[in-house]
Amino acid sequence: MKATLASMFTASGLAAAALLLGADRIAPSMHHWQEAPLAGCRDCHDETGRPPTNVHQPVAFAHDSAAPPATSVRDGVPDVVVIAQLAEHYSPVMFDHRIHADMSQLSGGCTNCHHNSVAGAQVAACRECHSPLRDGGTLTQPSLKGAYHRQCLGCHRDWSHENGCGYCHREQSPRTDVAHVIDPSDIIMTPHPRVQPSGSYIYQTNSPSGSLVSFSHDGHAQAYGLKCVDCHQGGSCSGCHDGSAPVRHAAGGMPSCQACHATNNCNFCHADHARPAFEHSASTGWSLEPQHARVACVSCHGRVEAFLTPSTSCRACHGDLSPANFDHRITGVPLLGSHALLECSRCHTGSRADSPATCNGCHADKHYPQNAPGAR
Amino acid sequence: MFAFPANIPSRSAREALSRRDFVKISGVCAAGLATAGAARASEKRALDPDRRGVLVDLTVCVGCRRCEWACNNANDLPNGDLSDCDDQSIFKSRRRPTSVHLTVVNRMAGSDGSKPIFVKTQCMHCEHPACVSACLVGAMRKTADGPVIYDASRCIGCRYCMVACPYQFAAYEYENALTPQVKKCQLCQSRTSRGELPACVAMCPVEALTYGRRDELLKLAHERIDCNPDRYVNHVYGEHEGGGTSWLYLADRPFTELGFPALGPDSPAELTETIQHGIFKGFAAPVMLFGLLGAIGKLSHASTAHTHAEHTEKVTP
Repeated sequence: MKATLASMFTASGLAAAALLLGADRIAPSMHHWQEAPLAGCRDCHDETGRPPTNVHQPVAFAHDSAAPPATSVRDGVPDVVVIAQLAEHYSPVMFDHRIHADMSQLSGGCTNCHHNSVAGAQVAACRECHSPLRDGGTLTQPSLKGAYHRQCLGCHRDWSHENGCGYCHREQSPRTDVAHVIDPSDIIMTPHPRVQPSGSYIYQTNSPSGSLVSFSHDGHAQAYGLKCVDCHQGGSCSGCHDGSAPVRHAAGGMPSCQACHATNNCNFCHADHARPAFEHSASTGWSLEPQHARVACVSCHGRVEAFLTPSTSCRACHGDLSPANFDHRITGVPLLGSHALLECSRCHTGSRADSPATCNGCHADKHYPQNAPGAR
Repeated sequence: MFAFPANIPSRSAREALSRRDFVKISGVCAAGLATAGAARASEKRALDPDRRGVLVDLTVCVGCRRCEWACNNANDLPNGDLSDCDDQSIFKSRRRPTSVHLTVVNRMAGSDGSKPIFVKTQCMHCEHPACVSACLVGAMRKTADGPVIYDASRCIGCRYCMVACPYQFAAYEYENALTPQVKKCQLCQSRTSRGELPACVAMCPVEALTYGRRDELLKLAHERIDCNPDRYVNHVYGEHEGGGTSWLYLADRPFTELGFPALGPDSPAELTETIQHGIFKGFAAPVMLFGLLGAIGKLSHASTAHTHAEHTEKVTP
């Protein structure tokens, strides 16, 4: 779509007229409406008929329906964008799109910059709405120059405190050599300098149930396999970078513990002493090695909001463990030879189903391997 | 009050008569002048409905100070290199416009530790300017299309305008011993008359400044507030302050935190003009004043004549 300013405003005027007339759909001459697979006028325009704004953006429309939509931040987005629409006035800017796209996952995604666009739709170029001329016939929108500067300086002045021309306007940007990433779904592997999650935090509180709350950042980030964006959402660059200190590990927009651990048991978090980081074997007496370590916590404990203590019965999870249904090799102990013919109870003699198998019932010189499933 | 010596009554009476004649003549002259003056002042200053102004969106300003550079450049004031604007240390102290910096940007820290905000200041170009009201010689003039213009050729250097300004944004060339002028933003009238934007507005890289018709800017400002209620406080500074100003401001926090004076909806000139014009309305004050003086004079004359007669009787043999 070539949404010129004139057509946008004509469209908004007609949209207002359509609203007044109670029309449900705008006449098909509206470019943006023709290509938007959406419902009524008020999806975009409020009762005043004003066009959607940067913040008030109730809906977005596909500006170019012929182009393949980008389905993720990785898919079909450029690494580097050369901003040279106003090259006769200003030296081109090499904009490192990749790192901005990656980091935007922490604070709202693509729409931070590509307002009036939604995931799944081809985003519109800035110049489709923002006129290169300052006086583009409207006071309501910044020109292309103003729009670019707002997008860049609006964030950069907050945390790098850079607002000089030379910060962007130079012949070559040293940051345009963007390394490709390994894990596309998390920022840890992005060109952003690798984030080193710190170990543990001990929070002092006023709670009568225990003044100390121990939080293992390592545990959440590594042992539990959480991604940064699982917790760090809705923040901003300056939430971590305040300019004077390079990195401040107190990003805004953090959910509280109760967002995940919705328990009424105060002692779940609060204690009178600092707790060591959670380690499954030491803390519960149940080793996860080797196979259960690969299983997500919620597979056994139900909702992460309130961990359930699962049954220690193998059959509670594994159901019928008859040799026909259970591949014993996943335990690390393949049943070879005559072992395949034995009843389970010949080796698993304990009263609990998770009791380790005993070998010395038959083999006086054999012991069950260490790190096999089950409680010790 | 001056009291005549009692031993020369006849001379005093003769002088009082002649003085009364003088006062009569000068009273008639003063009445004529005052009536003419009151008539001029009571004319409501007619403002063009499409008069211009500038809307400053402080939530957009990044504090780059390019407006300061552009202003000095356009007004032939001493100016450094453009990159000098990058010096952030200048924000350590709060500045006011001076004779060589007609506009300055200050960084204002939030009272609750919120992030700093940058505030551009310059002459606000009031709708009913106190400086124009205070000026004895008409060197300050509110033009119908918005700007308040200073005419150095009329100025006598009394600096009443600077005292009258509620924003204290007018500056004086104290460093110029021979031909000092009052210096203030003229809203780039030379540029706007050519169809160009004011220098600061044209320079602003983020377009935090919008130049246009004042009524359209007000509409735009309220639209922005309506559409982004979380971004702005519901207040357009300059819409009503001091009777309204040509420069309008939007911000994300109360304006009193940003150094803007809390002014009522009336122009500071309104009170003084009302009193002065009211006093002289219908020639009332001169009539009352000179009527009172006349009555005092008449009583005094009668008393003096009586005393003189008694004295004359006493000395008659």
